[in-house]
Amino acid sequence: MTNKSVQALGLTAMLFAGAALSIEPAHAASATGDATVKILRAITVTKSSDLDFGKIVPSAAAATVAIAEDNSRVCGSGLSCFGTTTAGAFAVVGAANETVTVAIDNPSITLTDGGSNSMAVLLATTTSAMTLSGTGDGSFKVAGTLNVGANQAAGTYSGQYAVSVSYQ
Amino acid sequence: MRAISAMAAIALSLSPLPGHMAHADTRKQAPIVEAATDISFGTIAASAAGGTIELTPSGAVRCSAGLQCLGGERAGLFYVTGPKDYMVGIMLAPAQLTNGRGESMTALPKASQSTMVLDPGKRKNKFSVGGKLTLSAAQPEGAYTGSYEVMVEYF
Repeated sequence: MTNKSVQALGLTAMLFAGAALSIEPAHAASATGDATVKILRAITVTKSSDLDFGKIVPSAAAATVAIAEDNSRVCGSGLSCFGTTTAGAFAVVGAANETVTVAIDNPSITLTDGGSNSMAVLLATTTSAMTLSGTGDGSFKVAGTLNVGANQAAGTYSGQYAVSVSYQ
Repeated sequence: MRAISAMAAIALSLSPLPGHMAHADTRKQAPIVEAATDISFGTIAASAAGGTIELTPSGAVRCSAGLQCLGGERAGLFYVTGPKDYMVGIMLAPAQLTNGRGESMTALPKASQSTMVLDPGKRKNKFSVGGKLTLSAAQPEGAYTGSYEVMVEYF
């Protein structure tokens, strides 16, 4: 029995040897290529102040209230304006020394008092592009012009707008 | 016992084989492959969610949602020189790109073709290489580089 087993193993080995002889092995030439990519950190935009038109006493005629980027206010004819005003402001963090573009997604928005009363606001920024600092920081402001209707209903009005900052 | 002797005989008859095969390949003038252009995935603005960048072998790049492809992409290029009508297979190994600060990402290269039949003459056969790059969530910024191996296999 032992002898037969050994003989069978020998036959198997011969068959494999025969198969190996019939196939020419593959050969390969090789080279090395390089691959590169530059990754910039994701941009983050954070609101640092709301656009605030302050307090306004309407009149019998429609008029506008404008807040400039320096927080100053121009109160339309017939209106009374008081209280603190601020321009909208945003802080940007991204890759150092990279140029980014700034856009207001919805430059025309509507403020509402939570009910049926509303006012239109036009938004603008003088910063269409900027170069981030060596630490990747930047900022920009948003000015607005509020359209106050004749005998605008009293109340607290609010609305939202969005901005986009992208690498150029 | 006789069977064991037979196995030993087979082993002896096989031993000269590798040398003989190598000699045959020399006469065939084995093809060579040379790198001509590196792959560049260009500049990518990362996102908090990560994503993928696909560079086609023809050099077009596409970023997944959230990422921003900012240009500068370029496909890799290789030349193969070898005997006329040789058929070769092209295989690529993944590349690990690192930024020198211990952060890395993996690129999977992809060739414009998996096989080619060679034309005779130096650098007469070329293929290009694109690839797919995967960015993790909040991939750290930096200039990443790495190498990948290209093998041209022939029979």
